[in-house]
Amino acid sequence: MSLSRSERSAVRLSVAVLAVAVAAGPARAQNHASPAGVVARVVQQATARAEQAAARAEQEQARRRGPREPQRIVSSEIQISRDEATLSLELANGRDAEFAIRDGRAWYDGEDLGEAARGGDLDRSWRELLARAMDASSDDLPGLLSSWNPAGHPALDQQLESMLDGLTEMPAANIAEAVAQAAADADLSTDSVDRLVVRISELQRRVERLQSEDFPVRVDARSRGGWFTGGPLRHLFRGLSGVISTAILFGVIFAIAFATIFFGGRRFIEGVADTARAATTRSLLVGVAASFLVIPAFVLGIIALAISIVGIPALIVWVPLFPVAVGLAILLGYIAVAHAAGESLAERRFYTADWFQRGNSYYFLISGLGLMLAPFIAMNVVRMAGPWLGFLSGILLAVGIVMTWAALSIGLGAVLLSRGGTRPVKGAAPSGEPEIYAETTSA
Amino acid sequence: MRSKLVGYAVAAAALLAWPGPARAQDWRSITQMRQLTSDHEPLRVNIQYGAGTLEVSPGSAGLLYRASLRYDADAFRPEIDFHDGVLNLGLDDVRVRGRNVKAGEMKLQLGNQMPLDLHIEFGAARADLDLSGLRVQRFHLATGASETLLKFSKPNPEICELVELQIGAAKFQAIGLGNVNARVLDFSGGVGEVTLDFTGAWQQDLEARLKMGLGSLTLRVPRDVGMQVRKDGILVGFDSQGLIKRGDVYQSENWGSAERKLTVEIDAAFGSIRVVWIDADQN
Repeated sequence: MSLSRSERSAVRLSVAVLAVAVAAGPARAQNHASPAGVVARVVQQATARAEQAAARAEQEQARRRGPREPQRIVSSEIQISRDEATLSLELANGRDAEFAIRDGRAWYDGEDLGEAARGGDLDRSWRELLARAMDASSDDLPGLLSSWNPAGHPALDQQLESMLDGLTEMPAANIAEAVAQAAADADLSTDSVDRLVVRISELQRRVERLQSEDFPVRVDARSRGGWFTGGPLRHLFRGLSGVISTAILFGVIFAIAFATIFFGGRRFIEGVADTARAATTRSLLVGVAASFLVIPAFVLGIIALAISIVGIPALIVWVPLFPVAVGLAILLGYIAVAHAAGESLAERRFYTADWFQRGNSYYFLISGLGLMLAPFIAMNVVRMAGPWLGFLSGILLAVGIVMTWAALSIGLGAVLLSRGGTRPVKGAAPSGEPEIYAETTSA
Repeated sequence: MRSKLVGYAVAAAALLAWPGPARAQDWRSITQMRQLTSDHEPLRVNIQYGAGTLEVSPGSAGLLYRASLRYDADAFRPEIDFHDGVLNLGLDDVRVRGRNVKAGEMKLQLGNQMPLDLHIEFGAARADLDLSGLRVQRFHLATGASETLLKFSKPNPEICELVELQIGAAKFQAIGLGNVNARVLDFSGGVGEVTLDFTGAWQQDLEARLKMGLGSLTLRVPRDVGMQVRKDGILVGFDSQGLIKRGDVYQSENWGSAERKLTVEIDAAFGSIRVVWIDADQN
């Protein structure tokens, strides 16, 4: 069973008075013949004196407070959502309470006050009140809340009125003082009474301290530093760094390709590129198969060389060179596919970008690499906008990964099919000249 | 054949992008208000706000703070936490993938009877920060891709020990920086259009350290304030009208005689800097 703060205070006061009375009993009993009558009289006297002391304390409190004024609300919190409408109040005297309509029921500090159907009169009226309270100034809030009067649903209103008007009750902190004062007034200064009063006061202080601690009005606790760890520029910087990383990757691959062409490797690149264009499907299948077989082939090679006396010295070459050769084949294949993509792009109609169409391996590489890395660039650009277009950046990332995987597989297959570009697979001849030339000649 | 493939690809992309069955957004509103209980207890305010609109303004007498949040509970998670003189406010985005999320709003009113230590960070937000008349002791502002208006229409009664403005890709306007009552202003801007207005009731000299990336920077300076500019950077256009170059600095004519002085150090790249002089009647 849960008790309200005022009920708890009353219980504490009664317990204290009873304790005082019982403890004082033996002292007074010495002067009376009937023990039962003496106890009853002493309890009556002690109770009366405690009540008088409490009344005096209340009067003193009222005197200190001056003329009675509207209750001061030091803190309020209002939450309105589809499922609940909640008002939390804290008054200057430390009293706090929560009033809510939640899940079709009215609540006061966790106590069910009855039905309050969603969309019903009480629910609507309560939500209107809270909506007005959200905009009300702190001075106007008590008056606004006090004036609320939902027809036919008094429970919530009564609790609210009680909260706002009910501060005439003695603050909990003064109860122990009142009891101590009562004991002093009653001249019941025996050791046991003193100890009891001191103990009650001490317990009271502990209760108050516990109640006053941990006041955080946390709506929804979460660890700090999660979503904002990287600062507000997180998305922008992440996107920007992604773009720069992709640009650097572009530069590195192009530099390798440039060096390869410059130092006479053009025919190998073109051979692999021709193969990739002429036998795309075959290259893809061979490339996928090779990617699965490369590790078994490496291991089998090691075993084969290891079991033969002649092959053992060759292991020294095989072990480091095989991975390097595979890596170079993949790189050559990727560059060649970029070259092929650039060639294909140049054959399209790009009237506004003539530089695309220049028949130069460097341009083919630039445009092809740009095409293949474009999804990653686009993804990072989209990322800069924050998480709003997360699905779009996800799609772009997936497209980029699939394109890269396909390019690597086709490239590796084409390298194998063309023996590193030395024997390009010749497919069907291109369907005449690129359309751009046809356009030019017809002009 | 090719058109079929394109059709399949478009259909697949549409399926991937499909956000699932539409559902109503769960909009929630929270207002929390706290009255001042002790006049001189400083209040530290930490705001971390992802996206939406943000308003900060002065509140009524006796108010400590009044915070209002409105947000989609399916996509954001709020935080209002007051403890030991520290107010933490936040609106974190949680599940936004595949959802058409509408950004929320946050409004904060602050009392003008206690010293304030303001630490505000927000991302893609439109912010209106009116700190007029507030007792700001320290102010740190960091923004992402935002449109921000910062106003000091009334003088700050406190001496502001620190003003740090870190602005990302943004349109940023700071009005009435002369009212800030600060000795040093640190500004760091990324990309965007920035206006720093130094009008106001100057109570002490101000040193402004400005770092600007790509963009335009406009400095609005009262004509009665002496100004000295030291500029560093690459490919920066500097409209130095009203300033005289003396050695490696630019100085206003009244630099030697002005009661209040503004010293500006600019480190910028790929942008333009413009000084606009404001007459006293425009101030």
